[in-house]
Amino acid sequence: MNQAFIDSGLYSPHPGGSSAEDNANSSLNNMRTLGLTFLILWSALVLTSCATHVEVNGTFPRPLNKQLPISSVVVFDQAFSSYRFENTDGREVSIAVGQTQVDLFTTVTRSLFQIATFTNTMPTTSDTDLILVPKVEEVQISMPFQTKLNVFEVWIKYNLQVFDHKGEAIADWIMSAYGKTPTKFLKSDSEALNQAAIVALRDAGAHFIIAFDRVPEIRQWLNNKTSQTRLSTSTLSQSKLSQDRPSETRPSETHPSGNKAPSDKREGAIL
Amino acid sequence: MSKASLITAIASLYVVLSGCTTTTVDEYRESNEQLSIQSGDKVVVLGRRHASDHETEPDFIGCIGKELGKATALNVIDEPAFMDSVYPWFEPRTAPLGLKRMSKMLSEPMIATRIRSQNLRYIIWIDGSTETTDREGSVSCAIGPGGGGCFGFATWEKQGVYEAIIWDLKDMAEHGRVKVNAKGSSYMIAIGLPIPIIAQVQDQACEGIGKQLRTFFTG
Repeated sequence: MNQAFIDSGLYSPHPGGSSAEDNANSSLNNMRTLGLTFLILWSALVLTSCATHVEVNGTFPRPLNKQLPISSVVVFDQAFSSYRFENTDGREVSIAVGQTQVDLFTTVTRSLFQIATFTNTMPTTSDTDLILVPKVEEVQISMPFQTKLNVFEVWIKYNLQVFDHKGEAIADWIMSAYGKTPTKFLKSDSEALNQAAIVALRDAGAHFIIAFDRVPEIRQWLNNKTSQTRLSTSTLSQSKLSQDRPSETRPSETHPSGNKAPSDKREGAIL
Repeated sequence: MSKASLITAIASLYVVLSGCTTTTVDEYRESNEQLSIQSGDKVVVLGRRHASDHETEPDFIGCIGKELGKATALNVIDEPAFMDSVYPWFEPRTAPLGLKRMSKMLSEPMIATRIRSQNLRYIIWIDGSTETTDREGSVSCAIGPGGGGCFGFATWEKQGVYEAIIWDLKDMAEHGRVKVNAKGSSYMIAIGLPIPIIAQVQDQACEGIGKQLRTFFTG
């Protein structure tokens, strides 16, 4: 019998020789099993620590911005609302941003547009002024083991497709967002990547709010819409006036050249 | 050596070595006068996060906020709460880098109203980070059915460089700058069990910059 095993105190002697040996063998087997289990668990822990899976989770504040006087329908298709980035080249990393980016775009579109409704399928026609279809073009991440920098980084490239109420394309706006977070002692990779992804999503929201009406095609569409609204308001006013006083005209509604007066500044543009 | 005296020796060594951080604080003031702060005026400490090679740590900003809050007259707004209240105008993409831009931002009534509603008088911008500058030695650990342990010696140096800039939103002026440079060496000794002796570089930098910033308001 193993003397060290006896010395370890795990062996309790019994009067019957064979019974004592059986017990000792049984204890030895138990210990081996325990050791093996520990090794398997440890190996599993090591292997698991090589893979990083993140379900991005966070909330977004209501933005402080001027609302655009337009109604919209936002289409969150299945690919967008369940988007998961997976990197299997080298270290296994996956980030699920789908639901959180739906939360983000819900918050920012509600804030930017006077009316925002949401659906998961592209409507053929719409009662709203525009249809917005956000799509994820690409996600990239970098981690300290790749860059040797003490930061976790996340890039998200969106393609924001904007259509008018008839479904005709207005713009394909490629909008990129970036977020990073520093490494921290005892902070897990998952926690750091989640934080970097939230920073990237906040950046996407900021970019969307600030730059939506600066995209040339959207700007032109907004200007045309404002002009049309002014024109229809003007026509309505003129017809009302002509009903009241048929012979009176309103020169201020027309430019000296005879063309329609230029539109005012965009309502959503600040800074 | 008795067990108690061994523990005392290790604890003393830890205290001595963990205090092995040198901190240099430089400051620049526009005037020698104490910065005026009325009852109800608030201060917010914000981190700069636009640089590509570093990121001002959020917990460092929180630490400075706590240090400033130790001065009784100062009400410090929490950084995340402030950033949420003015989202998206103080994000890394949009935050004003200079007073000219800040002034333009405050000329927008929507933003100005939100900031004034919080009685915010001063913004303190912090830019910098703590990096590991040198690393030597190694510690190896092994584990088996019979047990495990570590053996080796490792040392690494950290340097924290930060700059704080104080903006007065009432006068739209910069009132001072504080720069801190903290360096420290950390050690890991492993004979069976690993014993880390960590230099509190970031904490020392926070204490240094926080104390110095407090003097702007309390004299």
